[in-house]
Amino acid sequence: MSSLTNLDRRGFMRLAGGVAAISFVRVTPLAATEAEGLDIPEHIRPLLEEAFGGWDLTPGRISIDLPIIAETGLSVPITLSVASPMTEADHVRRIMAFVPGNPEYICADYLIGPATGRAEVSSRIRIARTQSIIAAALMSDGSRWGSAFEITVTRGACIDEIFLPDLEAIEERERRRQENLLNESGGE
Amino acid sequence: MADYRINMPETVAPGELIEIRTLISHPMDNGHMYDANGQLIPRKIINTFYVTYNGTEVFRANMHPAQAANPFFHFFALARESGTFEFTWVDDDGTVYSGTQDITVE
Repeated sequence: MSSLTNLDRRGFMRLAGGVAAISFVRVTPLAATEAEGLDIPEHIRPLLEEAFGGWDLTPGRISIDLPIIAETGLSVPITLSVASPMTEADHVRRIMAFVPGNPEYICADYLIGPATGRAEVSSRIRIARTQSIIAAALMSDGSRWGSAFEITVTRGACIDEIFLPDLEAIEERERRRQENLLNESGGE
Repeated sequence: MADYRINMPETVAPGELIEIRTLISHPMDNGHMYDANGQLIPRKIINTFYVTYNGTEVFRANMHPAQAANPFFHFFALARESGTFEFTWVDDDGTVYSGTQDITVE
């Protein structure tokens, strides 16, 4: 008998929990890895410019919690957190996240302040395809921080072909229906 | 439509972090999907969600089509004094969904 069949429910859940825990990672970029700031795609820059007053981001301080692989991009859990004391003098003003490979690029835009107490927000987003997600934070002193995270999406959301109507299948179904009708009327 | 759930403690100590979870049922049609007849489904999402604590805004989310259906948020607020949290969701068509939750700080 294999060991798997001997597993009781508790043992299985522990195993499943372990697998789930492995597939989630936290990315906290080291400031030293990129001296010249984060690589921001051309089409994301105006959005950052408008929201933060500048598009260049210093790598660090903000971390993204995301699964490495998303089986479906329809609902992917994301946690954005920023290292900040969140006091009147030093706090995070705004947290944003961008999905450059989606038809619309902003996936998170949160306005927070000292009353929030902790700069950490979780939500669920749609991801169209495998891509690098960019998170950005605007501090009360005007400094801008960012980090990027590569996510693999097995089945995308938004405009993926799986959501377009399968016209061939619809035609085929209609043709069969007509055939059945003909057969039925022919049999009578 | 638009059932919402708010999950937060009823009592906290002053200066403690209040952990808040909210969920609202909404299809969040992003304007890029087609129905079974090949017709484009027009965009209809909740575009704004904000939370006030005794009148002071503690959290605001501007939502975009990349927000998943049934917007869920998990965030924090700093406990100051007893009072009321007000949660407001604003739909693209102008509909406003709102709810309140009292909290005791002692």
